[in-house]
Amino acid sequence: MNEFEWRQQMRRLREPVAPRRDLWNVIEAALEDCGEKAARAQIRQRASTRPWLLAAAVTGAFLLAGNLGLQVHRDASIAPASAPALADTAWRPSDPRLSGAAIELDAARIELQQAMHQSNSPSLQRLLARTERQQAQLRHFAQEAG
Amino acid sequence: MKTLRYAPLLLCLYVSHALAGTPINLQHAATPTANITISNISGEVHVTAWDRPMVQVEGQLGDGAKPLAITGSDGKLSIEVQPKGNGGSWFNWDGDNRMGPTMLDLHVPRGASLDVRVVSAPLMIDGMNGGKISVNTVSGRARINANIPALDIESVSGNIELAGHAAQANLQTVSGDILAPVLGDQAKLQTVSGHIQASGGPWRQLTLSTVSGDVQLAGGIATDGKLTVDSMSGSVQLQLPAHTNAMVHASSFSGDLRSDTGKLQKSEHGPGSKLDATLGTGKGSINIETFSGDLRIRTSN
Repeated sequence: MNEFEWRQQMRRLREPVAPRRDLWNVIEAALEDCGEKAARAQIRQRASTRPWLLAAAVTGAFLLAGNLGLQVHRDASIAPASAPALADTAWRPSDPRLSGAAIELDAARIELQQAMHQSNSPSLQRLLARTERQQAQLRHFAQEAG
Repeated sequence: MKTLRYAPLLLCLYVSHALAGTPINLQHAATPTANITISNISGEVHVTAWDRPMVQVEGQLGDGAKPLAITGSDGKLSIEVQPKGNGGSWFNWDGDNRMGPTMLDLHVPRGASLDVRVVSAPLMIDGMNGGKISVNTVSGRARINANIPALDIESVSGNIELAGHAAQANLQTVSGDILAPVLGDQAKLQTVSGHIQASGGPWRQLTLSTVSGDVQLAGGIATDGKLTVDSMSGSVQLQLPAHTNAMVHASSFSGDLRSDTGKLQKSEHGPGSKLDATLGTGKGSINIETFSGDLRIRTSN
């Protein structure tokens, strides 16, 4: 193995790896569950000591649940809309010889756009323009391949 | 009886020979500065310069390929490996599947200009002098040893290795590495994730850009020369010779910036560091920017 191949392998190790299981949903559900349990426990405690607060607490819990339900519904309606939008932007050529490069160029474009949110330097703009030009060339190449 | 014992072996040898492809042996007269187009999908392409006014093609034609011919006139020739039947474009995926690898071994006039298109076939060009070379490759490695005025290589994942000298070089890859130890005075190197290792100069204009590939650059700039390096997350190492005359401006948003020359300024609020330095007369211009890639500038004593 020469130095070039060694460096190539080293670079591959640096590539981001997506987790096999996304734990955020589980954590979020657990947090919500804890919050609701604590709220119910507080209501029960206060109800035993101050019965006149029961109506207000129940109303509050209903309002909270309603709000959460509304938010969950809104998230659910947004999520399917954004997923196809992302899928649309990611172009995948049918030619397997070009599909790896298409993924790489698309990932580079997204990374550059994310970097530009932090620093809108002319250097990043130039890199993005060149990456998009390479994407256009690859599309042209894929069209030629038929 | 002995012959019968060896019969299966002989049969295997015969079958493998029959499947090995058709031998190629073609010749065509050519002017010393002819324009030659070569295309091949898989297999290999070797181009060697010689001092005869002739193009010679040898090798093995892959199974499923159309009979090969040298077409065109003495000043403009074409050698294109294509699949049998009407497969549309010369390198379409179906045609690639239908055709076995073709080995092309070409001899061409030393001063000819070449336009080579390959898909997965490694390409080797050796000894060209005077003409222009243009290469388009998908995954095939391109090795060019030539002394030419202009070189243009576009590669997807194939590595580019350049020896000899190209006064003007435009080398571009998506993930392939670029190795160019003797870059001419005007060069444009571009990659997304490939590694770039280049040296040479003095450069009148050198533009280098990488998204995530690392860069090692060694060389100086000419009087009034301009060197620009843009990197997002790739680390950049620049080795400048002693007696460099240039204004150096380097900056990084979150990468580690180190330099043998100039004074490093770190941002008081938030990330970011930059450096400005004047080397010698300061006539040339060196501008390097990275986003998160590390940057190291060395000057030889």
